[in-house]
Amino acid sequence: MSGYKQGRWIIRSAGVISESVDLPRGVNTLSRARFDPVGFIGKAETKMWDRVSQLAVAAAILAVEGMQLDGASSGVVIGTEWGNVDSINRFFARVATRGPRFASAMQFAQAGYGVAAGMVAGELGIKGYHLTINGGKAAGIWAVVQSVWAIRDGRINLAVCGGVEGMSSVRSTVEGECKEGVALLVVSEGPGDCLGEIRGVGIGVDPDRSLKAALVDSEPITIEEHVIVERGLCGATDAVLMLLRKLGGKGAIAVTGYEGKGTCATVIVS
Amino acid sequence: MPVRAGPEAVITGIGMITSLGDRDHTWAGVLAGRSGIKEITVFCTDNYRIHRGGELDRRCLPQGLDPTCAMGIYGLQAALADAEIEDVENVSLAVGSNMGAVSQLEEFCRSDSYETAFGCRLQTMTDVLADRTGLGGIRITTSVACSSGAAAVGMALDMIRRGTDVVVAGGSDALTEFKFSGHHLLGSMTGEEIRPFDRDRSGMLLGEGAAFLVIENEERARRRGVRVYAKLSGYGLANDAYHMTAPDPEGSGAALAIEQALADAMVKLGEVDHVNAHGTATRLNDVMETKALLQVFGERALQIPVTAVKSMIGHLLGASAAVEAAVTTLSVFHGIVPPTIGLTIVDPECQVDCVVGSARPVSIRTALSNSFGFGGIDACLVISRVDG
Repeated sequence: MSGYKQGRWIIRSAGVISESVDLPRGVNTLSRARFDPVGFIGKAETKMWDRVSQLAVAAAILAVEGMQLDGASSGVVIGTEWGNVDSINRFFARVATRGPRFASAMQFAQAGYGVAAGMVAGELGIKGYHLTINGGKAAGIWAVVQSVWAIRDGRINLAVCGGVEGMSSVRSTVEGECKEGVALLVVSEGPGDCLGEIRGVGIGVDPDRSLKAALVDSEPITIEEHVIVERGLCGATDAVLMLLRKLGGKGAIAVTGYEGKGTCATVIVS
Repeated sequence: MPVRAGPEAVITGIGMITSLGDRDHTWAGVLAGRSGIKEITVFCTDNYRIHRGGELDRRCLPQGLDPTCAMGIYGLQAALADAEIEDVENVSLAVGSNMGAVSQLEEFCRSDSYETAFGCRLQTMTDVLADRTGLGGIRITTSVACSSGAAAVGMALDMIRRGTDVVVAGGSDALTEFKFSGHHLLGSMTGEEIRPFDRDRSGMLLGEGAAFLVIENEERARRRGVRVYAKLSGYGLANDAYHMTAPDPEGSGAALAIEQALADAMVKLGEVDHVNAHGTATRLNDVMETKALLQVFGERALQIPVTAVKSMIGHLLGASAAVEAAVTTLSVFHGIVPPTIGLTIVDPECQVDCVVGSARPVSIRTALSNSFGFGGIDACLVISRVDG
């Protein structure tokens, strides 16, 4: 079923902070090793904010560089598997070991799974459609899907969307080796200069059905490649990074983020 | 204005558990203006000034599970039974929660095992709920603070509009020391009664519970011949972009969410007959919410019957929006607005028509359910009467 508004949907720009920097020209990329949050948010905020909040805001700033945003008609949709779990863990560890009097209200304010999106909205003055998706490894791509829907439905004209993950002892205990990173896209209705075009989006219980939903969503199209991202070291960010890597390729390429067990989202780009 | 294509969504099942009891007891309780606030027993409150909250009787819950998961399973199963759905192979699930299985987070501090760490993932909670109830459809989780339940319901509406037949959507959050200590630090809780819109209000109290709505393609529901409570007409999400913990005092983000929801529902302002308020009874929220309603409705905002359910069951954080959506749905279905308790002298800055004393019969064509979350995340659901 097609969306409410027929049109052309584009990825105008992107901001990435990651270990992998093999991304197309036009993606505003910063290697994780060179990332200093102080340059983006200041010293005081760097001390107070969870690392995930720092990464998300910095990538959003990179993504929207040079753009004039209308706050009310722009949105933020971020996908994350673990959110600010490090702050959650640290806050409660302090309460448990030293008592509530020694805990920090500011740290509590950072302690949530959807905080990073709020920090992006606050720093960029984005008031429109706002959501955090926590669908494991599918979350970042699902955030792109949800953003396209929101634009088609006339809620907003532009969305900053994608995936972010940070490091924490909680995450390391589960995943062992893992990485931090963020990839945020600016998606809007076309035409205009862009990194790539979004031809269709969909969700499903598994990659086949998610792709089928995305194909139904798009006009008749031939998929040159279907890339399924279900494992990786950077959680919700991996599939969004893969999407960026596939931009500018030959023909239409479908990228699916798959968490397993019914959480799956696909974006077709060309 | 977009041209709406795609199926309509209706609410065919409601499952709920709060400090007032199950769905029927909660509904009877809010209509009667009963309070579910009591002394907290699930953790020690000796280190705190506040000792009360909307704690529920956990003996009715599935045992041996994290309490947030247990409450969610209770609500989910009750909703499916209410909607008379037995075959759940293709039923999808959208869950909103503030912290998910927070007992796992608390436990991780004591023993950092793989099992507790894995339980800390928010999606893990959704998987537990879906696996325990056998749901085989799409599943997704969202966390946007106190608006989480509303965001999950909104995502379900998006899914129905794009071809999914049935989505169970809602939220669950248990009362735990983690959340309690944070809100205690922020000074947002009261040592007295919860008094939404009252001149002398002094804050909220936390509660716990879960609510799930079965949201279904309208045509499918009609074919099944199942009772339809109401139509889920639209939703709106926005952000104040103002402050990490305090709402924008002018209510611009809240007003934006309401306007977005009404536009999404294609409902005229004059058709809104009831507002189920966020109504936390904090000094900042209630006046902000009044300003937001005035921005959207003009002077008519002061004539629309309002209720604040948190006065009776407390603030259920991520589950509150879902519980309030359930109560709003029942209000629309039965044509009656529950009272708000604790309100004795209306704040001159909050002159909304808050129903007090006893429940008020109102013919409700369309109702709004507002949720304005911590961190400035604003949500509004539009629930409309189904005629015929």
